[in-house]
Amino acid sequence: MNTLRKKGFLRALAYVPFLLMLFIIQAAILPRAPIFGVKAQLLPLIVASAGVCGGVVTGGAIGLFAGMLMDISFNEPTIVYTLVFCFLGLFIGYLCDTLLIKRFPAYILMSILALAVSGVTELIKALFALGSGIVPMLWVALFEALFSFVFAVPVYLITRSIERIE
Amino acid sequence: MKDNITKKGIIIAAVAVLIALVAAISIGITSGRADLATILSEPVFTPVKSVMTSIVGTLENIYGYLYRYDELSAENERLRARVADLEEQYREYSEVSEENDRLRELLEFTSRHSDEDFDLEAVTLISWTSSNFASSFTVNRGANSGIAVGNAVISSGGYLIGTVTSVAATSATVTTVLDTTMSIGARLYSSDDTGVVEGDFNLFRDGKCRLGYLEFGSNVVYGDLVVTTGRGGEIPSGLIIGYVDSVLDNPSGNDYAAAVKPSAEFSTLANVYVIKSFEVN
Repeated sequence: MNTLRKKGFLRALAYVPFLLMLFIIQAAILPRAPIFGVKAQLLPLIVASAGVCGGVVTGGAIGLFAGMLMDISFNEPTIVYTLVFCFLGLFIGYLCDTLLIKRFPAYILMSILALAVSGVTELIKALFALGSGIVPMLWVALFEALFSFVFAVPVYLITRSIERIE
Repeated sequence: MKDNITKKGIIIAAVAVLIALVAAISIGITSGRADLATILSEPVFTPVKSVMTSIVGTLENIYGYLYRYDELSAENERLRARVADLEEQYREYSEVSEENDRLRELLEFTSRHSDEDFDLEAVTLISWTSSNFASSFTVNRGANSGIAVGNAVISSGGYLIGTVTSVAATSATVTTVLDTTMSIGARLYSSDDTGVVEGDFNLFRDGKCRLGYLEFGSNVVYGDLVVTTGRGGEIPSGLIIGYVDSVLDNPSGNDYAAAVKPSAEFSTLANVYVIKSFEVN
């Protein structure tokens, strides 16, 4: 039991700098380097990777903190993404604990799901705010997902290393 | 084991709901003040973002220097040393010159508005939002410096950038005129026709906003200056927002609309000014 707790503590400790690093890259560096005016989002990827590699509890916990950081990086109160990412992490973790094999293909599938959920959430928020045409917004959301997907592999590899800490 | 995991999952979900509820309630109570999580995270993230911004800036400077150095390395040693020396002098001169321009623009702005008494707070931009559907940034001063929600924010040239939409103790969020949630009373400088400047997602990607609700028959001409009306009392009148870039098709046909290109250059913003209060003499 003590070994399990120690392992959990060490992993949690390793997740902190990783989450902060992703947050800093997303909030302070990527906004300075948009591609065709679109910025990548890294935090949805860690929700997917934590859910796939760590299961339901890790997915939910990382989802909670990643959601808070996402809201902060959007200069918004910690409501929408805090909830969405937490439930997304729980859902991905549950799927991987019960149905999917915790391997890279499952992560690819789940990271697409996470990026889609993130984009759709942003899109719905924007639609509520302005009620303008959905087509140009869909293009932006799609391009955002594509650009973010470039970072999928490194995020997975680091998360997997964290989950292997003994 | 499975029950234990389900239990933990439910606890995590409950914590997320609780955090969101506390944030929502705190915003409702304090109307526009930053929520609890932002207040708690601010002492950590504001300095971290500031440091990252300055590190990225420094790296960009180093990259720029190395790039120029590579070009110059083809020349002989004496000229290279001379150029490096001149380059150093030029860099210093440019910095002084830019600062001088900023101050001169500010002086021109205050003389343009000589009948108004502005209480300005100079602030530095920390970071832009990472959202692709919004246009806002955080600055390094907040409620401790007297900044409040609704304060207008201008560039050193006196061009309207946006308004303060959220304030924490040592930082504030500024939403720009391009953002789709923004709506500011405006008029055409040449004809005095009034309308509303608001964000429009279709124009937002091109760095423009929309001047809508202009009366049918208004005289909208390309290049017309668009300035604030000052109605509502939160934003001073006569602040330059931008100029008419094109006249837009309006399906309703009851009013006119135009695309407005803001005069402030958002991509190069570093220092901006918050109008904390103003008096019309």
